[in-house]
Amino acid sequence: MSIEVLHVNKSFDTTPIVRDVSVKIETGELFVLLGASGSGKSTLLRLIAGLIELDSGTILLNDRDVTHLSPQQRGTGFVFQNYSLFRHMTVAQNIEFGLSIRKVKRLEREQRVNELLELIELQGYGNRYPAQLSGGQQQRVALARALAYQPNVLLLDEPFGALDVKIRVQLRQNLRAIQQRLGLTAILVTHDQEEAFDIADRIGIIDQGELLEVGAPDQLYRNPTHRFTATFLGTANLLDARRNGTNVYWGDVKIPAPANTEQFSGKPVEVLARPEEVALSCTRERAPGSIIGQGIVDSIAFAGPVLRVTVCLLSHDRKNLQVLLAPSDVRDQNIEVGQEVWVSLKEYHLLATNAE
Amino acid sequence: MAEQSPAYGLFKVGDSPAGYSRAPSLGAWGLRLMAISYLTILIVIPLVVIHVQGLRFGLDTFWQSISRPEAVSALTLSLTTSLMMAAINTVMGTLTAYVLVHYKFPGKALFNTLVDLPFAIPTVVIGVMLVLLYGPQTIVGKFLQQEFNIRILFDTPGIVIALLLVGYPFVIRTVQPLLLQLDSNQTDVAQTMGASSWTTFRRVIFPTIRPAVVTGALLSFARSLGEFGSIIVVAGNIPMRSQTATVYVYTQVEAGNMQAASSISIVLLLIAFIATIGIDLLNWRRHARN
Repeated sequence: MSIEVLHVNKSFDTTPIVRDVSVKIETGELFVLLGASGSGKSTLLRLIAGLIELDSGTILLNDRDVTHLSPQQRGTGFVFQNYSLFRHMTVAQNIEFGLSIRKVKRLEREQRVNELLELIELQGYGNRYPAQLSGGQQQRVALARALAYQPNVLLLDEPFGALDVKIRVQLRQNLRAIQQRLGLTAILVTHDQEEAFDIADRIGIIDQGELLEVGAPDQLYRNPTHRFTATFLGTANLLDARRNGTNVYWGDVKIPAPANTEQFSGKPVEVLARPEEVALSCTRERAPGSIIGQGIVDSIAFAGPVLRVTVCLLSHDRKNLQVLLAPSDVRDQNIEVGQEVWVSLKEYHLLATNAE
Repeated sequence: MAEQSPAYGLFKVGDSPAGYSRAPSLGAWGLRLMAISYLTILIVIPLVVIHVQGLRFGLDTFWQSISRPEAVSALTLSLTTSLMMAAINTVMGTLTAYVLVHYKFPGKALFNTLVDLPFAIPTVVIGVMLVLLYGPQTIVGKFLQQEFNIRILFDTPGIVIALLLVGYPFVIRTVQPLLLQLDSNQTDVAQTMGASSWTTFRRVIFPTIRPAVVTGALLSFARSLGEFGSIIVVAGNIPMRSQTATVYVYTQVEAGNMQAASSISIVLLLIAFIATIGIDLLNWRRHARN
């Protein structure tokens, strides 16, 4: 049950909302569309469900062209952020709605409802009304309702957005487990990168209607191609540089170019180092990786298992870098606010500067 | 530390320092008394008087008054025309509200304003408008009379049309807010599950707006039952034919027969009262569920 989107465009009035998006989601894959609010991610999901008509492009569900089919004919399961349960129906009636539309016999319907109640761990809740359930329970019912008629694909629009952090984490792991157990093909839309990292097989980064890049969570985090991806996913330290021969250099700093970056030769690049890839050392000799210069510790903040340190480079226009250090490192290197330290990169990646 | 004792400011609020559960002041009692007196003078006393008047000569006389053929005919005509109005306006009002909420069309704002007009137009004027349109000398009136042998004026159709106009806004205005509140994701989700537009309306939208539909229907029904101005113009005052209950009451008052007038009025009041209780019950049930 694959999903294939080909060169899809959609504008509201004259404002383009989705621009030339193409992506293929494989059978059994949980694909997360990650973007800020207003990026067009929900619109793309609605286009796939057929709730909005596209301006141009093609949508294939399981290799069947559904571009001009109504939502009723597409057979998708949809889950909304605000649950959207039918409030005048019981939990059981909600779940069997799709089955009764398909004229499934009553006995079979009851059996399926029981299966699903068990799947979402709400056995015995069939006769309750949505208003009697908590937010998390309602969202589980919404999921069961979308799964009842065994849809081709599952589409989830910020399904955990309205829930408490603790329930959110628990529910998304439940969803992941159910999705894998049933081998569902699913697209989940979210603005929460932690959620995306937690459950996605692949993530698609969407910005201003454009699908910028698609990849596995760690790949997008470590080695993004777009500056937007680098800054949107976690914290990014970016340094302007040039790549030449086998080195990357700026000012009087020269560090070896990472492998497989020949395509950037002779071009302006940005060096990306994540906060955990930067090291601070009290002496030059003790600095691991590639030294990029000296800096002054600007602040140290407690962040649970690690410390968040801001260091101000003495060169490079006194640029600030964000660094995550283990408490033991801070102790061993005598790192204090106002102290001069050696800054080095344990790992780093290159971004083409023009790849905005 | 004496300064730390609670300072009450300008008002003395009794023994509750937070001031949350203080005893009601004289002013609050005065306000309640005013509200209750106003209700009593305006509604309760006239209600009592009419019941005393209607039942003054005992239940037998009361029964005789309301079982006279003219009275029965008038009450029946009022009830049937009001029911017909309620049935038609419930369907059309729901449809109109749905169209107003869900579709864009040129002149929609004007349409939305016109809906309320029957609330404001004097009902006698509604009667005059209908006479000018459907009168036997007019094009429409003549056409209907000659082609279909339908007489609008001085007959049941005229009354129903007048009531339809008078009762037009009720269902629309009760249903519209609930339709606006309706989460469009619910209809979207129903469609992805395979429900056609009609099924979505029948199984998702209608159950949500049903209390408002019934409320609107009951309100317009109660309003129609009491309609006088447009009916007297459109239907005249032909006993046993086009005389509605309110017109019959008026005739009795004119003739100085206050007992008969009061008796029919009591029946009308009773029906209105039941409709009001029905509306309250519906609202109460809706609040109880949510």
